[in-house]
Formats: sequence, structure tokens, C-alpha cells
Amino acid sequence: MTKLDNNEIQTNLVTMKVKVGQLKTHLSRYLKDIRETGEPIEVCVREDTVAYLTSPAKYGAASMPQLDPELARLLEDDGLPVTHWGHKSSTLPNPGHCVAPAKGDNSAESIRAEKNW
Amino acid sequence: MRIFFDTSAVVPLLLKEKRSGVALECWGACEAAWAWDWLTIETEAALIRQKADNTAWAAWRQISNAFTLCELSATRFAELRAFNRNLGLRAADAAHLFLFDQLVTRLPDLCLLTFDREMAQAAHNLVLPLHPRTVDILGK
Repeated sequence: MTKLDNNEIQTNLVTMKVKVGQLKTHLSRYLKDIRETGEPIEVCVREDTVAYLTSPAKYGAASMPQLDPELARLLEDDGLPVTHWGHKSSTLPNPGHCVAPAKGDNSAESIRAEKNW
Repeated sequence: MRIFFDTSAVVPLLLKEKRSGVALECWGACEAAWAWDWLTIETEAALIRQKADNTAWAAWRQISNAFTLCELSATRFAELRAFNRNLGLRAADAAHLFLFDQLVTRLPDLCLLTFDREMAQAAHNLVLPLHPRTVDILGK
């Protein structure tokens, strides 16, 4: 899968950009990724985005699965509305590395500790 | 198992850390992942501040859609402030725990997964349901 540079990924975190040529060559693999992750793919001709390839669940609000409408209503009433229903896949993520690791065993805990409020 | 994730249990899924193995084991066994929607902001901030590589960002893209996210409405802020008066947690940490505390009343089988010792201790003191791996860090 073609990845743009880190800055582009970081400013457009949820969309994978793919050029048409690569899409044609690896269509099956991209479809498998969409099915497993639910994440859309942005199809580009040169640098221009011409289409999005997306799962049925993401196609429109009407087709978004409401896993539990009764629970959704109760949480809305509680002032805790569900803003996104998750689609858990069985695929495990592959953790990466970082250039500037925080101190300690758990980076989130360490970053929090830097801010004492 | 339905798990409520704190950010401290999500970042090890994305970056190789001491508890990545435990985090992946929990993720694999989890049937539904719940979280406060601010978790997405915190997680991405953790990746940005630590200059995470493309593999970590790809892992985040892979799992970010899996979370069922809840918003904490401003109408609940007064209760959150009262909730935290005895706990003394940092602001966002208190909000994670408050939301979990509220969700448990609707989802009794939900359990908290955090690798943040302070949050784990606060949840333990409140007798909230903890994931076994959260309990593990209390003894260390």
C-alpha cells in the first residue's frame, strides 16, 4: 500500500491515499483492508483526490449500524451520547517505534505526569 | 468481554512498550472496545509528541474505527467536578474515569483497562469493575 510522507499522514489521519495504478494492481488487498478495518481509501490521480473507496457502514448515516438503539437512547438521555459505533475486527495491530520516546514503561502515563493538572 | 479503554492502554497497541504484549492480548480477547471520544485526541497527541513511525500510525488507522466512542456532555461537568474532588486526578483522567463510572450503570459487564497506576488506584478505591490486567498493575 502506498503511503504518503509522515506529514501528510499526520494531517489526514483516517484516510489512506492510493494512486490509481496501485489500486488496479492491488485491488483485492485494498478491499480486504477496508473490510477488516472499516477505514476508507482515498483514490488519487496524481495529487488530486478523485474518489473514496469505503465500506457500506461508512457510506451514509442511514447505513451506519446502530448496534443497540435502546442503549444509544439511554446514553443520549444520560448526557453521554455515542458519537461513533465501533467495528471491532479480529486483526491485531502491529505496534511501531518512535523517535522521541517518553520516559518510563508507559508513554501515555509519562506524558500525563508532565502535566500536573 | 466489553472493555473501556484508557489512553494508557491504547498507546502500547501502537508503539512498542513494556506492556504492548499485554495490551495486544487484551485487544485480541476484547469483543467491544469503549472509550471517551477524547481518547482519540490523546492518542494522536502521544504519537505526534513521540514522533511515531508510519507503522504506529498505520496501527492507529487500523484500530481507531473499532472504538465505540461516547461524548461527555457539558451538562455533566458539574458532576464530574464533584466526582474528582475526592479523587484529585488530572482533568482528562478524571473525565475518563467519570465516563466509565457512568457507563457501568448501563453496561454492567464493562471493565476498565488502564495501565496508569493512579487511575487504576482511583478506580479500585471506587470499587469499579477492573480488567484483570488493570488489577495486575496495582500490585507493582
